[in-house]
Amino acid sequence: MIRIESLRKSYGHADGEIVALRSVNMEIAAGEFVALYGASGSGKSTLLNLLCGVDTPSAGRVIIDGKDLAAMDDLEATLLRRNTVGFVFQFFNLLPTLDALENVILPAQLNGVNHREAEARGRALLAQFGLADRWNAMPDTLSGGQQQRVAVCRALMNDPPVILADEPTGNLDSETGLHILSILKELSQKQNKIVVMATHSQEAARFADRFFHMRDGELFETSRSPLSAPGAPSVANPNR
Amino acid sequence: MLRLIKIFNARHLRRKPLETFLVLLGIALGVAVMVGIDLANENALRSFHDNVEAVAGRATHEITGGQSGVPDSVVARLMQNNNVVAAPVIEYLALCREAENRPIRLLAIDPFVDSPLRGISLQKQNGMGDEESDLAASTAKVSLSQKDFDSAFDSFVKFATQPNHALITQSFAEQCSLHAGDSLHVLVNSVWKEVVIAGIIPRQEGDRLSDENLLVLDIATGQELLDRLGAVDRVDLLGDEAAIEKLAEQLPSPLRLTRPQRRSEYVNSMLSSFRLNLTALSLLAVFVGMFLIYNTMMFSVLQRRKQIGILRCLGVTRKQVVGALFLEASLFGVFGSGLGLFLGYFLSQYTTPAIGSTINDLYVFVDITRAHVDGSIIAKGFFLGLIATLIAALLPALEAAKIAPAVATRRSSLETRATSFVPRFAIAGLGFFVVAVIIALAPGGVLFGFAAALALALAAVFFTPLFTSTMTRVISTFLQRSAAMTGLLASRAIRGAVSRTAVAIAALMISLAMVLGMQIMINSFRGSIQTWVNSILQADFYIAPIGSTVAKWQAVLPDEFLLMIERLPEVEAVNTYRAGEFEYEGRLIYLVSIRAEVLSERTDFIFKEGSDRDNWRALPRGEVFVSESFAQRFTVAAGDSLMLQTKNGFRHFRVAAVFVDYSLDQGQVMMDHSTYAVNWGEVRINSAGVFLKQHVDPKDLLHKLTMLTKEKYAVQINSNFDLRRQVLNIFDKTFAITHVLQMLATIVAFIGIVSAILSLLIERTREFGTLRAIGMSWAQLRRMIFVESGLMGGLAAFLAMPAGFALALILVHVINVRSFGWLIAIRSQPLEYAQVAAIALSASFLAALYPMWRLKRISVAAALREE
Repeated sequence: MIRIESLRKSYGHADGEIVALRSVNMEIAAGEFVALYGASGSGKSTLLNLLCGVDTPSAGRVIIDGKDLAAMDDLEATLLRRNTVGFVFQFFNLLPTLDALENVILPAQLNGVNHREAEARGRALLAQFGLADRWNAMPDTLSGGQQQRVAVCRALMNDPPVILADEPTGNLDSETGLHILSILKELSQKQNKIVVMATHSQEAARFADRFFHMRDGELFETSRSPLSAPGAPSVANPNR
Repeated sequence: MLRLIKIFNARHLRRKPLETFLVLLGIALGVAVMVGIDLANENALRSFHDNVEAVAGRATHEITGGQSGVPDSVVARLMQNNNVVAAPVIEYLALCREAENRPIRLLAIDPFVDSPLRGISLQKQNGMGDEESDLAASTAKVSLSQKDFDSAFDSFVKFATQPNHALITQSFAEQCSLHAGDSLHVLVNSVWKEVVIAGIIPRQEGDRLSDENLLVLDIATGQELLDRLGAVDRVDLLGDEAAIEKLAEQLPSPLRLTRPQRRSEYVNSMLSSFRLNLTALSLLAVFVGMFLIYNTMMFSVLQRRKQIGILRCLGVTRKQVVGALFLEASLFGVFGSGLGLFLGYFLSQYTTPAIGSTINDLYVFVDITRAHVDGSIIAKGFFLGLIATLIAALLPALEAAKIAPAVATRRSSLETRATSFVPRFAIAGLGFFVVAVIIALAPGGVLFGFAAALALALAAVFFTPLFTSTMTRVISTFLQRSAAMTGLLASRAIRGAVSRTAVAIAALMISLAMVLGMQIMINSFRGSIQTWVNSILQADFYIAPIGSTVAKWQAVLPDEFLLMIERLPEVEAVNTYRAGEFEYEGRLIYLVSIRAEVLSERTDFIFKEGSDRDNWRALPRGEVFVSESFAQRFTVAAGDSLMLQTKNGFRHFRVAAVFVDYSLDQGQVMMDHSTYAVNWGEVRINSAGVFLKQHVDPKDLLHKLTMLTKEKYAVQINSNFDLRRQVLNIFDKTFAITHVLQMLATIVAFIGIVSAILSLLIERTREFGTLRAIGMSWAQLRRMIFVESGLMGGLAAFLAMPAGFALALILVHVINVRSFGWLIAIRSQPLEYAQVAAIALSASFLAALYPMWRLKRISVAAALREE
């Protein structure tokens, strides 16, 4: 479903080139929950941005459902983000001037979906995530967990096959974070969605089916959870 | 503290070059408009004042005789007084053919008594004292060659004894390449007259008179040349105050004692309303600029609130934070005002001739030869710009002081606090509105009118947050139901940042309201003038001396010319028009004579009361009409009595009616020519209106008149149509500068909205990144931004319309009436409102272009990373 071939991202800087991602290769099938685990600055967010077309690679390709992102123009990439990929941000990124329901249905409205239809689906999603009675609450009146659930609903609004989550539990307490992770797990298992999650939390990473350790822009797939022997990745780097 | 400033201020300003430049430009334009107008007002009058002072010389008093002047018999008696120097004077502004028909001042004096006052000398003097500048004495004091002495003496003899000989100043001679012995042709009372140059008055250091374009005549020559036989304009006096006062007691009516400065005071008074209105308009740009500064400073505080919080956590005090912000504002004020002074000087190069031209057309002749830079005006402009900046920065600085250490105020809580102020602001707005109404209706001077206008403007400004909040709520509700997503996001965004959006909307609104108010006032005024012109200008032709453009009421038509016109078989009737300056209750007005028997049947004067027939019948009985502006200024109505000083003493004149008039805002008293002749003895006329018999082709008569007059008389013959057009052209020219000032104020408001929209959009970069990340296309985002800025412009226009109309009411019914005494009917047209909407929408759409361009250059990933 998602294939990444020799993906590389670097930034030109006054002090020289900074390589954020070094020749990454991976394949992710439908229904897989993948964790990109690594410290801050390891390249996790960069990889997620490249997967949804928010950023463009310096080299390599990302192919989603047979479509090469590099061959897409801005509108095609935008439509990809609207219909194929749902994004969950670390800081929720809800629009402060819209209430919870309006935030959720925004992707559908961008598609020109009938307002009533969009509202009905939005309410159903909010109810599914226990927010039925907070549909008209403004984001600044919601707790962090509630906001993140609203963000997840928004990401699911157009029923995309791919969910990308960048540090989804980074700003949440552990209990709320676990709840979010359960939701993501369920999405991959029950709805057969690809879920790719960037995280620096070992506890969060263990929810995933596959783990990729990222360090200095390089990707290492590990067969065991990061909770195994500290500092000992057990599988050789498939990129070498 | 310097380190703090370097960190806090300098780097922030360097990182935001465009926003910094926009603020500087806004301040600069505001200061430039103010300085440009002030310099123009000052320069326009300076030449007049300088000339009055230069011509008056050392005279401490003068004796004037009004319309008839001072008779020769009185002059002779005054000159016999040993305790006082009494010098007769005649002055006239004439066009000079050799100077390419530019004006030259004719000054007729008695050279044997004038020296103590004006010290006109034919020889260059070196370091002589004031008392020693006597024409004759100077020859003994200065060491000159015998040849130079002989030459000067010859010139003096010719000047004093030979008819039509005159002296000219060296500056004039150099300008026109003239020499002693050359002939000059000057236009006096419609006739070109030849004068021979007897000698050149050299430039004298420290003597302003010798710098003027002056033609000096012997008093007898002057009387003959200027058709003033038997009288002079005035007698200048120098001597002991008590002796002069004693002289004055014996003066026959209507002669009176006054001071030379009185003429300047009259002109100052005449022009005060005109200048005050221009000054008030110029301050509009500063007022609007203050919104720009407030908004920019507030944005910058919000953008740096995290920085400020951290600095506070590290130990920086509130005072230091406020101090840093005031210093930043001061830098804006200093550099912006400095730039404004330069721009103001360049603007004055346009405004000075424009204002001078209007003053020439409507009031007195002013000849602006040099643009002076007055230090006090420069200082005033600079400090006013600086103070306005600091006042506008006060609230943002206090806001910054409230930021708690390391707990940077979240925007949402700031907006929550701002939202709670919205009702209070609305109440303040209501309060200002009530104050505006009370002041407008209360009796008082024109300053009350301006105060009412300011209160009304503040009312509209304080009402803007509630208006913005309410309207966006209504629009959001409507858009929500109709599922217009981009519109909903746009309206919510405006409402969500009301503490900033309302300020930007208010700035644009107030500028648009002033534009609309002024436009309604100008169009109403034009309409009233058109109605008045149509009613009063009914003659087929109007004839006036060409030189009347500079000599004003001194230029008259020769008697034989009038007789010639009256005798033409094609002519049915001729109205004669005579206007003369007159002092009434310490103010300058005009006495006007017309022929009632001609006008009563042929014009349609607009009287405030009474029937036309009854009113006209009263004039030949010795009663008078007064103009509306006279009636307003002196609180006079039909049936009242005026006491006017005539040649036979004071006399009462009954006011038969008040009539509408826009020609002389000082006010006029109109009477039949017979009444004028009996009481003031002056029968010479300034212009004539010619009524043709039926079936006479006006073009044929125009040709005939032109042929009759071209060899002998320099007159301008205007058809009825041409004169009406001229009147309206003068009107349009008068308000041309108003349009320029309005445009500049609108530019300042435009800069304000550009700056506000730029800051608002840049601040939401991450939000836009989110929208793009979740699938909003660039076209949808662009549409949203356009809707948002268009909505801001639309809200500004919507509120500007009632505010502008209310301002027009104050301009027309309060300020105009109290400034000029004119009553105008308000006429408001849909086109005026459409123009306001078009300006607002254009400004706001244009304002969004650059921010959109900047946003497009930021990648979605980078936008998501923005704080």
